[in-house]
Order: sequence, then C-alpha cells, then structure tokens
Amino acid sequence: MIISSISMKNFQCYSGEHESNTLHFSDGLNLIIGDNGGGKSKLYDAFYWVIHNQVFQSDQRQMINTRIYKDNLISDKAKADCQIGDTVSAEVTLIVTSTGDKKYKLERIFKATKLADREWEADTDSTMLISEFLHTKWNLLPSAKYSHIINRVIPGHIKPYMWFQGEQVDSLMDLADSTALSQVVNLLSDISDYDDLISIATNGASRANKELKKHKSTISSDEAKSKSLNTQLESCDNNIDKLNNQIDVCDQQIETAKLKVEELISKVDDAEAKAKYKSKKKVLKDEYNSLEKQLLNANNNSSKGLFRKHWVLKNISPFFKKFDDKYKRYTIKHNEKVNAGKANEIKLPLNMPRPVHVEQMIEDESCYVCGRSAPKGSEAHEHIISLIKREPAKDIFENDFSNEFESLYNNNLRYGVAIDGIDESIKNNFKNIIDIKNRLTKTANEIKEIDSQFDILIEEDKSEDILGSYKQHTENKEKFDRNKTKLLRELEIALKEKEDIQSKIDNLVTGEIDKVKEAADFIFSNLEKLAKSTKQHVFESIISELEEFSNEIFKDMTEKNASIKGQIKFKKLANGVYIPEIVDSDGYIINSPNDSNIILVKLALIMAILTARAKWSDNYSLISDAPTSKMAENYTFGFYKTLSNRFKQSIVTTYDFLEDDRKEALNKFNIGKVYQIEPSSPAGDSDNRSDLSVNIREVLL
Amino acid sequence: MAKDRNEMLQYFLKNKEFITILENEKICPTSISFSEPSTNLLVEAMKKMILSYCLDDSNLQTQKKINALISSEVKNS
Repeated sequence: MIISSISMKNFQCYSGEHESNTLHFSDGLNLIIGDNGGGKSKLYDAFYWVIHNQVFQSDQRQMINTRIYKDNLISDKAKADCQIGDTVSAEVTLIVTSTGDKKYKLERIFKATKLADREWEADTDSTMLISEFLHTKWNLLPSAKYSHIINRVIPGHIKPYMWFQGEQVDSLMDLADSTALSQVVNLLSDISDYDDLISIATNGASRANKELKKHKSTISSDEAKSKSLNTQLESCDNNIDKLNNQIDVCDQQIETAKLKVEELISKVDDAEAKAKYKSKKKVLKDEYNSLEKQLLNANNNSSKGLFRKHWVLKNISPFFKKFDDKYKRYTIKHNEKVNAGKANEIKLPLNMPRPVHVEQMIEDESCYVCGRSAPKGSEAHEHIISLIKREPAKDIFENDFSNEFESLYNNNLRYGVAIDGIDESIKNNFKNIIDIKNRLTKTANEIKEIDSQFDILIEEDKSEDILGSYKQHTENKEKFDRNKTKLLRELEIALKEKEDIQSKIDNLVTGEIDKVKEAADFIFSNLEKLAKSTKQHVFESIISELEEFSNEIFKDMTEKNASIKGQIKFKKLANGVYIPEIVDSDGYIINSPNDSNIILVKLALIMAILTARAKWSDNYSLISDAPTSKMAENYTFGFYKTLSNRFKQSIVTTYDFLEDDRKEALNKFNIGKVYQIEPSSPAGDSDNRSDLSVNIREVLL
Repeated sequence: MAKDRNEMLQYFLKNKEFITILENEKICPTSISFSEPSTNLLVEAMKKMILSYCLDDSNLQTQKKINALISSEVKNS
C-alpha cells in the first residue's frame, strides 16, 4: 500500500482542523523538512499512532500506548481553547492506496472532556475506524477486516525496518551481534519453511527407522538378541546424538573464544605498544625535565655572566683602546706638565740656607753664604728678606686625578684579557641555550607523538584487562580445541560401534526384509539430510544475495564521497553463523570506522533486506524520522539518492535541506512531495504551549 | 506469506548434496518439475513432501502421503 495523505486534528503540536494539517504524498522521496522542535517527530508519531496506537515518549526513549499517554495526545492549544464541559479530540487520518487502486481511510480518534481547569475526563483508549472508498463515498468496514488492512499498510514483521527513527538504526542492526543476520534472514524470508520440512523428514525418518528395526527383529534368527542389539543401537544413537550436540556446543565455544581472541589481538598489540610507549615516554619525560633545569640554569647564568663573565663589557674594546690611548696621552701630558712645573720652580743653590738661617741672617744683617755683611736698608739685606717673602710654588694642576686614573687604568688592565673572550663566551652560552631549547622541542615533539599514539590505542586503564582477557580467551580456545578433538575421537568410536551393532543385527536377519519399510527408512533419512542441507543452502543464498545487495546499495550511497571506505562482508564462522564486517579492498577489517560510516553500512543492510529478497520496497512505504540524524552532512546525499531510487515511496522527516541553497540538490532525486514545517511559536518556548501550532508549507521545486 | 512450491523445489535442486545424488542416478536436475513425474523414488518423495507442505497439510498427513507413495512405488516396481 502506498500512503496518499495524512491529516491531523489537534494531534500533539498539530493544533487545528484536518484541513490545516494535511500532507499529501506521491511516489518517490517525500520530504518533510523542519528544524529541531519543528514537529517532525510528532508527525512520525502521527503515522505510528494511527496504525499502532502508540507514540514515542522521548524522555523514556520508548513507544507508549494511548492508554498511558492519554490527553497528552491532544494539542495544548486545543485544550487551552476549550471551555469547561467541552469535548476535544485528537485525530489522525491516513489515506492509503493499494496496488489494485483500492483506497482506504484509516482514522484514529481520542477524545477528552474538560471537567475543570487542568482536569480532563479522557477516553480509556482511542478508537480506530477504517473505511473503503467505493462508488464515490467512504464505506466503513467491519472491524474484523482492520488487522488485514493494517497488515497491508505495514506488515508487522517488517515494520521495524520500514518505519524507524534515526536513533533506532543502531539497535536495528547490531553489527556486533552474531545472531543479527540470522534473525533478519529468518524474519524476512521463508526460511522457516525449511525448518518445517526438516521436522517432517526427521519425524518420518525416526518413525521409519523404528519400524524397520522392529521388523528386522521379528525376522531375526534370535529375536531376543536382536532386540538387545537394537537397545544397544538405540543407546549408541543417543550417545552419538549427545556427542554431536557436545561438538556443536564446542564449536560455538571455539568460535566465541576465537572471535574474542581476534577482537582482542589488535588490542593486545595496542596494549603492548602502550606499555612500550609508556616506558619511552617516561625516559623522554625525565630528559625533558632535566633539559628544562639545564635551560633555567643557562638562562640564570646568562644574567650572572653579565658581571661574572664581564659580558657587560661586550663591544667596549674600542673604548678600552681609546681609554688606553687617552690615558697614555694623559700620562705623557701630565708628566710634561709636572716637569714643566718643576722647571719653573726657583732653583736655589745647592747649599742654600734654610729659612731659619735666612731669618737669622736678616737678624744678623749678614750673609752666611758669602760671609759679607748685609746691613738693613742695604741691597744685600733686601735680597736676603726677599728670600723669606718668596711665595710658595703654585700647584701645577687644579685637580689632579692622576692617581685615580692610574688606579683605574691598572684595574682596567685586568679586564683587557677578559674583553677578548667575551664574544666567544656569549656565543657559547647562547649556543648552549639554543641547543637545550632544540632538544627540549625535539623531546616535547616525541612526547606529543607518543601521546597521539596513545589516543589511537586502547584506553590506558584497560591495558592490563585486555592482556589478561586475551590470555584467558587464548587458553579457553586451546581448551575447547582439545575438548573437540577428544569428542571427535569418541564420536568415531561410537560410529564404529554403531556400524558393528548394525552389522550384527543384519547378520541375525534370516527372512526377507520388507522392501517398503526398507525404502521408507532410506527415503526419509535422505529427505532429512536433504531438507537440512537445503535449508543451509537457502540461508547461504539469502546471505550472499544480501551481501551483494548491501554492497550495491552501499556503493550507491557512498558515491562521490571519498571519506567513506570499505565494503560489507558477511563472514561465516565455524558454527555457521554469519557476522557483518566492514573490510577494505584487501579484505582486512577496518578498525574503528567513523559513526557516519557505520550508520551508512547499517542503512545499506536494512535497505538490502527490504529490497533484495522480498521486494518490500515496491509494496510498502518507508517512513523514517530523521534517519540521517547521526550522519555527517557529506554522507546524507548518497542516502537520499539511494532511498529515492530504490523505494517506490518513502516519507522522511529531516532537518537536512533546511537552508534554501541546499534545496537545489533535491532536483537530483526522484522527489515526491516536499513540505517545510515550522512551529508557530519559537521552539523551546515550552512555558507557553497553549498557542503552539505547526505551519505546513509545500515547497515547489 | 504464501508458500511457493516451485521456489522450494528449485532450492532443493540447487543443493549440492542433492545434485550429487541425482548425478549418481543419472538424472538431470533441470528435468525435475511438479508437472513431470520422475522414475526416482527420492525425487518423487521430495516433491510429495513439498507439495503436501505447501497445501498446509499437517506434519503427520505429509508423512502419510510420502509413505503411501513409497508403498505404491515399491509394490509397483
């Protein structure tokens, strides 16, 4: 059945009459575009409610029944507009068309009456009505036909795959669950028919075999012995069955352990690598700390070196030389000046009298030098007096710093040697600092590299668990392998024993064996084997078909998306169970594919299930609420394209294509109808939902 | 879901184990159909089993039909 339209009246946020809340659909991809909180999920709820009488309660993450949800189904606005005593109803009407052009109307209604403010008397449950359009009018069908019609809209067993929400995709197809594919095959194919055939053939074989044994006993030369041998044979058969069951269990255990070991083996490598990296990181960290100290010291030494190593004197060599020159020039000039001063001093005779003697000579009026008299008033007396009045020699220098300059010069002399080595010393110091810094950067990069390796490895605290678990599962596998070898040996012995007993029974037979009984035993035992092997063949055919279709769809979906890698491979385990894997072109499992990639694989599998075998996609409408919600934007195009190409009709609510410039892309799809929906009051304004409604606008491309 | 007897027969005929049996009996799998009776009892028993199952016969009814076929074929041979 294809869905022609849905209309809602006062259903959750879709307040108002049916006319203002109607969406028509056609073949192809029908899109309902809306932002978060725009009413998309409530629209999905409307589809679900009309068929299944359930809505999704987001806080509990589950579908709940009308009986529990009650008047919450009715629009707050409709309830707010109600007067006490008024009755208001939530209604959803779905018009569907069958391939034979029969048209059905499915209506669900839930009523409540306002008793007082915030007090409602609601129906205990909703009411379902289904009508068929005949001769220009709708004719109500008897309720006995409802389940048949509903099943034609969406059969119960494919509902989870045809009607789903984006967040349900993960749980629909659990890639880690080894029984997931078997369940899907069982659910979506007629493979269970072969279980019925196996049951018929097995029962027939058992019955025919008993009949034949009984018959052989009756025509035996020693009936008692024959019966005894038959009892032994029965016991032997039971033992063989038991051993076969044990071997099956053993196979499963081996497979489980093997899967665990395979799953852990990469993690074990990670864990070992992690340990290696950890130790390397410790060495590097120590080195880093040591280098940091060295750098600190080197920087400190740079400050101290200014004085200790006389770096402050860097570039003063010319000044030093200038000073040296000037000092030398100064000394020369100083000496010259000193000498000149000395030259100007009064040169007294060698045996010149001392001042005390001069005073005495003045007093004696006699010259002690020449021995002549020098009476007062005489020229000789005046000359002797002049000797006494002689002014002391004037200082040559006003300020004589010669001693300081000399001291300074002598002090500076010792820096002379140091000045020569300053450049080299500074150069060596900074070379050392740069070297330490380079080593620090190198070590930091190596630590960073190790940290980045850590990110792609397992979590640190799981390393030990993983190593322990790996050891345990490896030991388990070896134990199960040994057990299986032992069981196979026992089975071989039991089969030989059975053959011997059978031979002894046959040897006792004297009369002619009933050909019908013999033929029945032969035919039924062969039918049993064939039914079992045919079931396996059917299963493998479906699996192979599914794998092929999944990859075909996956390829379509990932076209033009370089970021998507791999293909889907159904790996057969020793116990016959298949598990889906994402492998690269060489068949190696892709570890840690991104979320979008996983979702696409799952959607490809679901679409393959729906399109490959039973052609559900041709007969039923796929309805999904935000199927791309967990996908990155560049992954969605392939999905929509595939959906529009592979399904006769799909109805999808989405926030993709919300921007007008993205809507152009829709022209590349096989598009049905496109609607844009938006709440009449801003999303998130939860305080006042009493005026909330949804505006529905058809987008014409 | 309606049972498709021809589809079921085709699956049996594609079963390698059955193909080996047919080869030993020199029977061509393509010659086997519901409209053409076979001289091989196993082939006829298998067809009977599928037919009876597709008619929604009970487990026991199907076994009886196969037994009747075996009995008739053996007695006529």
